Amino acid sequence: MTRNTNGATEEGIEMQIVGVILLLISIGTVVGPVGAVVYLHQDNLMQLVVPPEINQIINGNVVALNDAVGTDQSILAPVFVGAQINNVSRTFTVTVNFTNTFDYNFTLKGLSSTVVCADHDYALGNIGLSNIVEIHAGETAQITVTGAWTQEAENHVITEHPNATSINVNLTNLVMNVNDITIEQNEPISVGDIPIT
Amino acid sequence: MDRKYNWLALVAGIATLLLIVVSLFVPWWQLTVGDPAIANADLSPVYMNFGVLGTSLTIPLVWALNLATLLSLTAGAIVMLIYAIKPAKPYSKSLLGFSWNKPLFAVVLFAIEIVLLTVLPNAFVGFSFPLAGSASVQLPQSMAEGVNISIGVSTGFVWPFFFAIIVAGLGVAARLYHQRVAAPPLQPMK
Repeated sequence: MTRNTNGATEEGIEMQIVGVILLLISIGTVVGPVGAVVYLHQDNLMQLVVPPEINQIINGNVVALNDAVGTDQSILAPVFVGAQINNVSRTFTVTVNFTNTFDYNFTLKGLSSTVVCADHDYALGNIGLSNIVEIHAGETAQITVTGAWTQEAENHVITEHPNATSINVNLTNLVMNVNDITIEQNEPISVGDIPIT
Repeated sequence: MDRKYNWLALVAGIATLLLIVVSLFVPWWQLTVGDPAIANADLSPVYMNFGVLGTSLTIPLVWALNLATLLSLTAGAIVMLIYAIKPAKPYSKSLLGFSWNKPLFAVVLFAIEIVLLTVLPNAFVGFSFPLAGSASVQLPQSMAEGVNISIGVSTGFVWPFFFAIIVAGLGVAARLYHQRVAAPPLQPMK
């Protein structure tokens, strides 16, 4: 063991150097990255925790939504395309367009609703999705739902809409399952006139 | 018996380096929203991947903390390996003190972070995620503008988390074994 003029041992100096190095490593590994990021975002510290991509998603998709759907409709409202009716079996098929305004593919796994006479708020029947539908990003897909009406509904149409060739209907109690996200909307959705002859 | 190395520390150091490499590519904990997923989060102390609707999000502060953890773990592993081959030097205890608890801190802090991540949303916005498993999360009406929305969520710990627990245990074992390795050799009685 050798001592210098101050009485400190070589081993003691060695330990102090190692201690200082380890302390510098401890501080540098944390202060370095965090300090650098804070310095880079010093003009807008909110961006440290709220990435700009969030705003892009929100703003981009809202703009796309407004452009694609229009101001009077929400993204949940399908656009009516056509319908077919089978009077013998009291069944009908409704085809709607659904536009995916996001940059992501969706899978429509379920769709059900009650069809209601818009004029009299009378339940005519129920509809359900026939098959799972994949709606690719930025595209519009046709969705076909099938349904059946009741004898009571038929009586309603005969008595309340005796000479009508079409009837204005709403969808109520709409339940949609998109990518295992279930959306239930209780507010009626206007479908418009569907032919009844 | 001439104990020249701390074998446990050697294994712990190598395992820590292996853990770091694995953690860069395989998360410790995963969160998936929807099926097919529309949002996902892959988390580990050294890496985070958060995506929503196909857009990958980078949170700068989290990125910095990931990098800090990566550098800290790497430094700890290297120092552990240096200590492992020179456990009886005067400065060896300092080396061990710097390195043995790094994986343990990473595991404990990560576990706390995940618990907070699954519990805090309930306190602020009214829903929570499961720690591990699948659940249907009901969004509050205030968030859904009058529409009832329930979201299928799946979470779970992935195998690197359990490997990290083993590595943390090796660090603790290396610390305990130091007392045997650094003890002076017994002198024969005259």
